[in-house]
Amino acid sequence: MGFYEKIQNIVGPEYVSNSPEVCRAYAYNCFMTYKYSVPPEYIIQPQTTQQVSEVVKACNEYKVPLTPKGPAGGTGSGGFHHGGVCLDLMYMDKITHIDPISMKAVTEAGASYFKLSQEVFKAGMMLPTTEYSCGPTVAGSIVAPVVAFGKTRYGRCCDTVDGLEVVLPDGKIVTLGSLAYENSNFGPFYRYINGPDLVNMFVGSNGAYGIITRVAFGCQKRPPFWGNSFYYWTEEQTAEMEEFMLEATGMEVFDIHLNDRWKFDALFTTPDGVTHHELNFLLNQYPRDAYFFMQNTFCAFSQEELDEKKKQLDELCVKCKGGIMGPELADTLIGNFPTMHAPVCISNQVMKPLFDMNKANYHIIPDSYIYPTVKFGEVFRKIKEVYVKHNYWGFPTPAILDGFPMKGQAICTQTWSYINTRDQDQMDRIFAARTELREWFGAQGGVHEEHQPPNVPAYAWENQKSDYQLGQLIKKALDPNDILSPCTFEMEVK
Amino acid sequence: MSYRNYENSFNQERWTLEEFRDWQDMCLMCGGCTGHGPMDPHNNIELAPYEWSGPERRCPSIEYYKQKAFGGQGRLLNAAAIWRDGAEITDDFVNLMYTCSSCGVCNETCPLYQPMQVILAAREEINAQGKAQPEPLPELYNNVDEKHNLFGLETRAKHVPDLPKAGKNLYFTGCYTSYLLPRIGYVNAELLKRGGLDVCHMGEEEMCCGEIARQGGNTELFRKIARENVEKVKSMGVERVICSCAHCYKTWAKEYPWVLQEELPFTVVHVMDVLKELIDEGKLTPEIEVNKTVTYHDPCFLRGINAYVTRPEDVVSNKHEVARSVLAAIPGLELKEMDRHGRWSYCCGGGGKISLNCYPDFAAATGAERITEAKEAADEVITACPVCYNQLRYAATEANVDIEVGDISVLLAKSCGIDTEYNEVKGGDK
Repeated sequence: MGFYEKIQNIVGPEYVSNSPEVCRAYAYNCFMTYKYSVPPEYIIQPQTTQQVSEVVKACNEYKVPLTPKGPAGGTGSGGFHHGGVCLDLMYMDKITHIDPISMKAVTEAGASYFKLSQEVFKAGMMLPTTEYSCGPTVAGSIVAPVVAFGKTRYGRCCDTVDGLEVVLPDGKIVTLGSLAYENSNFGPFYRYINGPDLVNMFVGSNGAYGIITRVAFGCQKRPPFWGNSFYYWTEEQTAEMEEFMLEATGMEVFDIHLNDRWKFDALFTTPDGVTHHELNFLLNQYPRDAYFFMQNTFCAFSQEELDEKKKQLDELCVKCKGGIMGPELADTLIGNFPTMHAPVCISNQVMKPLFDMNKANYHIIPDSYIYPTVKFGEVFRKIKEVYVKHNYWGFPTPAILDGFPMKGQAICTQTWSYINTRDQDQMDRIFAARTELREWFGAQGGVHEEHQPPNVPAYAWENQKSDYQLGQLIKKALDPNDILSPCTFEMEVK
Repeated sequence: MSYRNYENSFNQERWTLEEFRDWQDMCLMCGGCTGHGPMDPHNNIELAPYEWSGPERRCPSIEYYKQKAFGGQGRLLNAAAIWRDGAEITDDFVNLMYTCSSCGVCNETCPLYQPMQVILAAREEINAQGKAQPEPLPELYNNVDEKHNLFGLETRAKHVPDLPKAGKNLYFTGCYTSYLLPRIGYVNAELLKRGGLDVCHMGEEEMCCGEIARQGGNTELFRKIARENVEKVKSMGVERVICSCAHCYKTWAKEYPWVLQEELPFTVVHVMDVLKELIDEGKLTPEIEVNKTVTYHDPCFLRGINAYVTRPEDVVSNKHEVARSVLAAIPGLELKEMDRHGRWSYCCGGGGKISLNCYPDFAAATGAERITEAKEAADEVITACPVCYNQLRYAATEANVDIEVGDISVLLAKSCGIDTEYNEVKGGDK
């Protein structure tokens, strides 16, 4: 029996394919920017943990590499630089346990984050770091951890994980953290056990140490009162804005989302490339030198508490010399349905004028950077310097800043750009800017978010050599045949 | 604020194959057209309304063929590989593109790119490169080209609607009604007359709308049919074309302007629009009680963005609400919705007539899923499209589901006291 027949027997023939056309659907990373040089050769869609275990054993037997992937592009990625099997867990999407008393949820790894969030919501709870779009799976958001809504107070998606079920590279099924005693009288209630925290070993692992098949989450009680406030600062006021973000994060604001005005200018730009502020009924109300716009989301268990939080934030904004905006922007653009969880809608609205103007067909995020919040101004000025140098600042090729202050006083910023991929000059310029920024950022000791190696820039590992080398040792011990996500630890770090 | 602004999409409905060859790779890879689960879960205060959250399972192709490649995103990536990276068109590629059910739910989910339009463009590319298409498409092309009807039949059903040959409003019955389901044509004609409308019919001269050529990617044939049909209507001096078939409606309203790259000099509406209009104006009064509970199957081409036409006179953007207004006007009738309804309705298996003809197993499985869902809601399912009507009847029989299948116009006619009896004189359903 050959490999293909064997895996067909394990998961059922309709859940296996080696058609190049079927495999091609997994050959790209987010935004179609990254096309993997070696696409997967097999797509396997198991429906149970036992099937995953059997598939992993078969891959070991036939020395076929295996990389897990969720249904979306950007998260749960990793790449298929060694071909082999792409393990798609979209049919392992059952939510098996919702406990509103102990505030826990357990789900299979392939469930969408949105589906889990919806079910948790129905039980009066919240999963505070719900993803930004409907595609990503819970496991995808752990093996390639993302910054999502609620990050300012609760950290990243992976920070809410209590336990995991994992299929190790030899096919053995293990349960870690709270899932280790899932079926006991006490049930899954607590992440930490005697000894080291092994749950975290699989966070950000890109699936190199094992295939996550189930996840236990710690949920939060859902406050009934929610509010938004919008503030602005001028381009020169980065120090004041840093002060605000640091203090507001300390006050446990639920979420802070920062953009520069290009995002909103793009929304009100017509095909002739001119931002018509007579159309811009929202921004018209604020000074033309307002540059940074910051949305703050907060929640409370009473209206009084909510009002007090808003008052405190307004006072902080004034103290930090920011401008307080009315509710229009929050209510119209962000505070209402559906944009909170669907930035794709906003992105669409931004892309339309930029396509009309520049035939911009790619929404590209060259990199995501994570650094101390107190360094925001320094990084912003460098980003601007590099983008201006490469003529990538302002229409028709704007770079839109998107910032996420997180728990722990770290900030993640991305710079969205919109490029016409048929214009080689534009392509060359954006990638030259990326390279230059990577060199500078790496030299500062920065880390990188989301995209796992080998797409990740080299500095991400150079700045954390010991972690990487220990990761390599663990990988060798667990996976001597280098079967699972083999691209993950292949870089040579001296 | 609505979930999405149709006006702000890229309007790929007007894009030509040349434009898709150049600009096919704008997908943000969010996974909405491919993954399971809601499109929007909640806003932390309340659950997202159905309009925004949608059903957990949306794409019939993925539900049947299981693989992600069979969703909008997978098909888009494959089309991009052909156009951008020079990949070859293989048999698997052809099957991947033609096994789309054409329901357009991916267009409904995607605020950016309208993947369904890419699939149609990929089918055009398959034709342009002279690659073999699934059987029996060549035969169906021949039927509509030479016999002017989808089935290649020599004669129509016995009785075309009894309407004059001239008038401001043209009732376009379409192949299914003219050849298989004449009662629907008869009933609609009677309703329009009862409403006092100046309505006419082409009689024996009516030709197929050519939808199969559009859906199959045979643009040359489709353009020829479109031009002939539009010229004929122009010569009649008609102000409005009324279709009772959802497929004909979408073809006339949206695909003719696309293939001719020009606005039509007349309005195109579905008969539901007109019946609602007549009821609202008090010209049609359903008075007889129809005491039963039914569920309504939204034809894919009468919902959401599929049926959205940007015209000032087309005041109703949510076409799927029009039929519900008509149902609400029938006294005694209770509507019980299926899980998937309105803009998130699920295909009956007809699949733009492509899956029905080329992939009958897929069509049957989709139909079985839909008719089972309908049965969970009510003992009778009604619809507003003869293709869906026929497919749902077939699916009920094949899947052994005990459910009545009906047409909305027939229900309305009964309530208006119009004789809808199935008999030889008027021409019953074949």
